[in-house]
Amino acid sequence: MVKRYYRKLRGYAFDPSFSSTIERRQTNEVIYKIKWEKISPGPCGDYIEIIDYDPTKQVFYEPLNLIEEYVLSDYGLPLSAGDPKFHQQQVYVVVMSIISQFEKALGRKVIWSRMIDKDDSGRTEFNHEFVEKLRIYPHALRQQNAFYSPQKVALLFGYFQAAEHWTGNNVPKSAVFTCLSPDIVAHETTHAILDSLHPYLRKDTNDDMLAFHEGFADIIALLQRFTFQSVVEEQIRNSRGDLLSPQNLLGDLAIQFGQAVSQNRRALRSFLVENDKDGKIQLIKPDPSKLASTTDPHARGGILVAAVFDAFARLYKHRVANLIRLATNGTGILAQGEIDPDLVQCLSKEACDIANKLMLICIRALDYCPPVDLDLGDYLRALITADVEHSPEDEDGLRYGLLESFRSWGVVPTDVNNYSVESLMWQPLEEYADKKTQVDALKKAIHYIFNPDMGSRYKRGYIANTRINEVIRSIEKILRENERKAIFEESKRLCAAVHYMFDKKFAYYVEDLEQLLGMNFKDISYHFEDRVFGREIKLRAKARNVFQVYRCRPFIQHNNRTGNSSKLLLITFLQKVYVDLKGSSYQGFFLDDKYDFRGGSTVIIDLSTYEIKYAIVKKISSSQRLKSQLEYSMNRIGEFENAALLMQSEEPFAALHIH
Amino acid sequence: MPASVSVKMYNQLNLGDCFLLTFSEEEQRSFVLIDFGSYESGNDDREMEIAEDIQKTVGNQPLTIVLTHQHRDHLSGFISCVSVFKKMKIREVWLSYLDDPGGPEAITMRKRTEQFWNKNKRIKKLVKDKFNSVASVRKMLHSKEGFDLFAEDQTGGEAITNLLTWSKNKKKFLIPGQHFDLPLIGNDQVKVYVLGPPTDPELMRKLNPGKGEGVHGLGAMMELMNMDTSTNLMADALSSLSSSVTTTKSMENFPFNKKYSTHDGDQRDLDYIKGLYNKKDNAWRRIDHEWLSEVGRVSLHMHSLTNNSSLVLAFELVESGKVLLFVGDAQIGNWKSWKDVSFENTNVDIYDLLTRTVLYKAGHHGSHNATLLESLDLMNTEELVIMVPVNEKISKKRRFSMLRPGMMLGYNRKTCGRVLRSDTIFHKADSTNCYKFPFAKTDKDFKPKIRIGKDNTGGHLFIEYVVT
Repeated sequence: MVKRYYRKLRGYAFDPSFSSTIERRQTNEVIYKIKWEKISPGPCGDYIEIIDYDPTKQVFYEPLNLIEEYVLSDYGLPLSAGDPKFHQQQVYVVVMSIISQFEKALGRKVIWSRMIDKDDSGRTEFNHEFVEKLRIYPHALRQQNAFYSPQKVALLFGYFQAAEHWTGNNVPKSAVFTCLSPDIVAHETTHAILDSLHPYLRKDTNDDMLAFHEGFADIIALLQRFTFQSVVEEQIRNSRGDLLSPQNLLGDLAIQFGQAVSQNRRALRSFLVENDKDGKIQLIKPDPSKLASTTDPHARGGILVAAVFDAFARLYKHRVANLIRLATNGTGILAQGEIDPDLVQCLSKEACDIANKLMLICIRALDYCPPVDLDLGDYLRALITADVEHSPEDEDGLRYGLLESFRSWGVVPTDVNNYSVESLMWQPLEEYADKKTQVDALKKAIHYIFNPDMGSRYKRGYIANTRINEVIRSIEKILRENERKAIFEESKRLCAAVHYMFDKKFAYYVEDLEQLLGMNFKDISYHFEDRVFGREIKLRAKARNVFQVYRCRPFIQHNNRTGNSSKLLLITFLQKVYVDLKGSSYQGFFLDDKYDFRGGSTVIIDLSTYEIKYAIVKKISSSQRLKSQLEYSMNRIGEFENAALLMQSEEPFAALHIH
Repeated sequence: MPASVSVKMYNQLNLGDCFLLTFSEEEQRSFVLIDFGSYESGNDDREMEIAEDIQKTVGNQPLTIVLTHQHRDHLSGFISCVSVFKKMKIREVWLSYLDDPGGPEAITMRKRTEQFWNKNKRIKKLVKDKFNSVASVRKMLHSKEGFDLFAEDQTGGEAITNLLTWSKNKKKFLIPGQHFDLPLIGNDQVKVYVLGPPTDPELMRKLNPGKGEGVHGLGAMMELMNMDTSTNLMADALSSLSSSVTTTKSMENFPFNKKYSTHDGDQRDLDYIKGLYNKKDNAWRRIDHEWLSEVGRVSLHMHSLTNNSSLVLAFELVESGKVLLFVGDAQIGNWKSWKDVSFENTNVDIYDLLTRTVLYKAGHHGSHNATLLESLDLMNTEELVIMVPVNEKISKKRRFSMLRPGMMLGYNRKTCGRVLRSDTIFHKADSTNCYKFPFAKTDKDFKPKIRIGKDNTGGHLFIEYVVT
């Protein structure tokens, strides 16, 4: 039997409501190549189920059946904004493309899950549950909104009626569907995947958590546009190769992107280009001081997008300089008229290549993020670390492009004292741990927990590890298994076993060992200045000897360039304490006058040597972090007041997206 | 003697604004009343008590009345206290250009607004009839009532008619950028600067190129139109779901041609999908009611739209350089537009005015979204006082985001505790609020700049603060 690799389906490359112009007619239809999978009507595949139910009409639209003859024989259904079945196809191809981008970058499966905090009787019970498929409702709302619902593990897309006035390519009164916009679908899908990887990034504890979620989703949506070389070629032809001219590719892209996600999410529109006095589109000059004075999550997210896209622009300019020299006999000035088709091809190839590499690194950086309280500076450090890991020599100059653009947008970490690759990379444990004895003890513990030689065999200085086979078996099974449910369940088992052993080991070797990993099992006291009257504030959290091994994920990272492959293990430690606010100026504002404060670390271990490559720590005992979280939450309290009105008590992303 | 001003903040025993400003320079007096209303109806007795005090203060001297925007909590007194005001000498009424009853854009706005409220009422009823058993929908409707009450059944028309009758049609419709001497007081003593509501110059440029006279407030108009589209969509959906309303063709064919909703032939695929949706284990993933959130959103949107149409005035005591800032209920959008306002033939701009502000009337009763923090940061005079017309009882009952700790902390920090609230005189430093209010801790702290006016029952009718 012939093995199928791809299912090819037609779809829009841009939102059709913004591209129904004659120039766009051809480029807008593209063929999406989707990994072959067994599929039921919906379409419902391994990862997603599309259920086209419109609750505003209480109507089910007939599902697309991809194995029907007439669909199968000709790249799926023809493009049609007026046929719900085609909408299902469009959503299917975009969501699946994004999923496979993530899998390609991370080298592992995307797995959905949900956290259940309460059981049916309302008793608090933590449970992390496998969810087989992300559910997608292409026509769920009658509003200019689309969102990811962590509670339902679902994407809800809205549709609306174009306004009565004629702006842009708008046709008054026509139906506009958010599910037809690849940008919006990519954006929402990214929210869902990011949440599946880092559920604690949804907890809104500082200026940057929501900003990051938004900005990151925009980055992926934007870079995703460069996956179709034909589309890029068209743009390059029209712009005569000048990507950086705001009137052309960049401006065009950004404006379209802005229009598509309009009103609510203007990230790119307002951070990359602006209209000058004559109504001409201008590039916005990066302003490093802007970030400090911006608090709105979308605006901060916009700065992140701008920084990444700026890096893209710099890299492109740098990379194509030689091509342009070649094509112009060294003058750098292109002849008038259309540029050479070969040159178009070469330039587009470069643009797509850079975009692709940037996207990979942006996704890989997720593995190098702290488990809680992420800020944009942390993300830059994660980007740099991920890039060093994957391309130690920086052949493409990616790191320097990122460094340059992030600096010019003012996205710099606060905790490094110089702005170089070496200091921006996360440091190995030895670099910042005070006590060498602790580091050694932790290394010993890791050796003990993961080294198969520590099994039943007695070794001097060690007690035999009776659960070692369990751990080894789990690691092996996770690496071998292809079925997502099995991987999920096995990972849970591994987490439990690893947790059990760390729990035993923390106290065993040396006191306060857990503190290396950002936790603290003793009473914690916090001291900081009250910002209103300069008074000293003292808060306490009772000792809580409870922690979570939230993730424990082995993965193999193969580097095509160096030929090396690393066998890594990523562990996330999380601890929660309850800070007592009674008697302080924070009394009366939080439930039971307690503040749930989290700390912990993301630890990356090299399985071949049992060395800790990186430990990315957010200390639970940090007064500074507690202070800024409390102040941040106090300032935000008012903003949740409208939750009932917007029926969003449980939907963090719905509120964020509404205009 | 440089000009001085006394500001009376009245206590409505309800949520609402009412400020009487008395400017003095030597023997000259100029009285300005800014807003007068209560959020909840049935407050006529208290409003009369306040109106009588206003009359007593002003006597038979001329009074200028300012109405910042058409929300009930800023104007109901102009309806309930006709008997008092018609005896007084109202010399002029100041409104924003958006409230000009004869202005073309105001007429359109009013028509649209009226339409909106009618549709909104219909939608509310339809939702209630059909979905009242759903808890989240019920909560939404309750919260929506709270918002709608500010402006539903527009009382604005009547109040404005009254005001114009009393002033014998003497009126000013103010546009940002205007500045003039306060009448009835020596020239160059007190200046008035108009900051809001925004005129949206960008939109004006785009939609009205080359024409001499500007069309203002188009941004607001576009938003209203969008909301109209949205309410229509909701109304269509809700009425097709209710059996008593006949559906029209355009409703049936939106968003898809009707043929896609009716199924004939092979039902297997469809049944498969229905089965997935209706499966009992999957009940947590259903989306039957999420779409109704739009019904709540339009209320929120309408609310900020009206608040952003607030008239914003800065009064400058020229000789001392001190500025009083009255922002109505301006929300962020309004604040952000001020930086684009230029006052011809002066050196004054918004930064200048903010840095000289000694009295700030908190926007929208101290809601979190009614003061732009960047602007608050600029108010740096040592004697800065912030007046917050608010009512804790109502705010709590309606679950409004007023008196929120973040905002109040900011106010207190800026003023070192000189925050005056209309509903309470003293701020107790109790366990829930351990900040000291050094300015208003005891009666003595108030003197000599503050005077408390008693009401009939022994409570306080107003707090008067003097800026010299």
